[in-house]
Amino acid sequence: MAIKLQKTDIVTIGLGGAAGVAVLPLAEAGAKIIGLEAGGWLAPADFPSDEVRNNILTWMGNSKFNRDVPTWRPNDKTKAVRRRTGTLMSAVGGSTIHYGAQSWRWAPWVFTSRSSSIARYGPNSIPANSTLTDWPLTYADLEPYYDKVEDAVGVSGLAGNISGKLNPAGNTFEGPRTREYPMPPLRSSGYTQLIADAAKRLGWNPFPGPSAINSVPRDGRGPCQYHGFCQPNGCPHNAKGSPNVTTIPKALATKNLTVVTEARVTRIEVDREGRATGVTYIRGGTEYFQPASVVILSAFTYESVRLLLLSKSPGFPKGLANNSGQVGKHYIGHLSTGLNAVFPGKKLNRFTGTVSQCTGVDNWNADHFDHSGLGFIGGGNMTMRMEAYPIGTSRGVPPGVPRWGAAYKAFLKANANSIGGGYNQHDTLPYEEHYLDLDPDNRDPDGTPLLRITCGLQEQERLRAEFVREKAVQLFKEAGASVVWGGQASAPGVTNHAIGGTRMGTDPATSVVNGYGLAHEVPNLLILGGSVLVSHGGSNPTETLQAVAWRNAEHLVNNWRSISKSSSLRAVSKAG
Amino acid sequence: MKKPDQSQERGFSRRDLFKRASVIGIAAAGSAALIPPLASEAAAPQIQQLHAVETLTAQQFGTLSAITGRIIPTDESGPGAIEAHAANYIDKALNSHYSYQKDNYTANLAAMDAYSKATHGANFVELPPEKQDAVLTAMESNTVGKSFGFAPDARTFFNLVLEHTQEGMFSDPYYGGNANFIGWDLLDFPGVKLEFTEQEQQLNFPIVKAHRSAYSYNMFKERKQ
Repeated sequence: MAIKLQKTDIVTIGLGGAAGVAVLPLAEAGAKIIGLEAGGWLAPADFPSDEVRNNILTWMGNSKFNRDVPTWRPNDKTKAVRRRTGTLMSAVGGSTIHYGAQSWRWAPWVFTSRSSSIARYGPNSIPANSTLTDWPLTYADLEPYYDKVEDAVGVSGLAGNISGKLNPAGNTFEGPRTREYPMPPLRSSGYTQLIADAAKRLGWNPFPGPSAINSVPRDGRGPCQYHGFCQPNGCPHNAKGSPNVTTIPKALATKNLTVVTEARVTRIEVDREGRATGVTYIRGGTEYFQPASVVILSAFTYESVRLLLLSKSPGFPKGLANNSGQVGKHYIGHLSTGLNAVFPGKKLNRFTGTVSQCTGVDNWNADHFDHSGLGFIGGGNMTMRMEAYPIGTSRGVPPGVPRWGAAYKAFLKANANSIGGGYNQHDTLPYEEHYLDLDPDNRDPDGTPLLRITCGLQEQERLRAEFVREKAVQLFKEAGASVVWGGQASAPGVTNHAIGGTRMGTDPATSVVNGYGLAHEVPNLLILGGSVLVSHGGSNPTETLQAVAWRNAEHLVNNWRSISKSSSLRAVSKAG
Repeated sequence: MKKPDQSQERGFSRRDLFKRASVIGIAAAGSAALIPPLASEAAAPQIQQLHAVETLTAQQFGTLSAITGRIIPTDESGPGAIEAHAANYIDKALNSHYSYQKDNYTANLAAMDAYSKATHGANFVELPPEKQDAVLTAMESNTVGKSFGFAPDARTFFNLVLEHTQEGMFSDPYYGGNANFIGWDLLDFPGVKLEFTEQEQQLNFPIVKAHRSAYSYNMFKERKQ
């Protein structure tokens, strides 16, 4: 029998990239919050530059994820297998502790990609099996929240469009911003400059990529030291703006947030009216029930969907908020591809720096170019970036070079410090055939079913990736590369960029939450994180899901009485 | 219900990691600008790194060592996996983070000798380099027969040893390989530092080799409680 704790205004499941940011506006508004986190607090000493520990043994996943790794299959004709292809972590701050900290706003086109594509290219431009819809919000709706997040976590960059005024040194394809980035961009390097010069010669518009890493001292934290080993790893200099060093300490300072670490949530509980009453969790072998007026589910896409599907009750026999059958649907594994290139005779010194220290190119992203006759909508951005790893480099030789022996060694000796790297990140659509559900055959060590990913590679995604790959090859060659390899699309398995599963929308028949993250079927259940996003833009998702989380938190505050069915926050704050 | 300790389960505990870091020799050089070296760090003695075979038998270790020596050979371009003690990395790992693969190694190393004897008339370690390469090539292409005891097959074991040899060559020397930073020097990787300057990030800038393990920095050594 669970030990029943004192009721609180809000309980959060997870304190990662989404809830870890949302707790700041909530706590400042006076809400009493219990933040449940399956991991603990980490410190700079936890982040050594050790590739075996971080990248190969995935120390970051030991706190929880390594036992919960979902299974994956490309389609429902095959048996799902367990193959860890991404690292996620449970800790205060979550996976934003070890992410690469590229911090992008998505193009305005992303939010209206269905209607915009139909208007420009006709109804057949959307694949018949895609469940793509427009978002229930626009870029303009989200802009103030992008702004708040960039200020709160600290983002470095160079604006290309401030209220319509363009700066060609920044990203002119970006949606209009109301002000400059909080900090100048991370330092350019010899390699990023080499790429930028080549992009300009091609008539493209290179710019320094945006990063949630301090480029200068700010907010009590020092700047990036460019020492590398940043991903998957935390920053020993606290330069990365993860919520555990930015928003969460500020929320704690209000005295309205209590963090409970090592708390693993097993169920979200409901009453007969279908309202969430709180959550059950296990900590130190003991089971607790934490009652709350509002439950915030923010445990990363995979665990959030899994918890809903596991939280079955008489009112919700298929899982919580799932009488519509929509939980797990519209899942998107982000299509991203890595490329490498040899620049003979040049020492690139890419063992230094950090991945978001990069030259970005957005010319081939979103609808920034004419797609007539191409057979796909959307595009992808490319970032040619710093930060290489010794073991990773040794495993990444180009086709035609032997994998071992004297020729392999000779290649490494001549070229290991001359290998350039880049990443293409593509718009990715939802499809009927791509979904998350509970695996009937595989369980975690506690006997609980694992989540199963069903996600393949669709024709539009293959064409889009190939189009962007050819552009990236062109860029590398222009910059002086002798050989370029990689970049081919494959079906996304377990990924850190996992979108959908509880998507937002105005129609309860085709979505799980409304435009403010509240479950259609459970009015006091707020879902935050990548699972509520509708489509995947052509860059990293974190800043967008953080902006959506902040917007949803503000909506909750402004409508507290009707959503929570409890007294106003101001009164609660005074009473507390 | 008790939450299992994942690090223990994987045989890779933080405590072990820090404990062992202190006994492995470190050629301390250079300094970290952000975190000034303490007196003890600046004066770190140049201890000769010692190697013991912890897990495998001498026979097994000899075979493994010879494999790594063919994957990254010693030649006119410089020292290879033998001098870097890549096999010691694997041997130690089979007693720690790869302990679950120990039986896999012992079975497949025996299969390699069985195949080498049947095909070339001697154990793997006794074959000349070109015959050793022929055995490894046959394993890589999975053209060895099924009767020698490879499990699940020769190619899978070859790929595993290749990966582990790369780890032994290019990982932090804390783990027992990459002796004298031979692997990092081969790649022109300067060693772990806590900062790189703007100048060091320019093209063709010759970064001075730090030749340091992550665990040579005080901030990553075991914290005083």
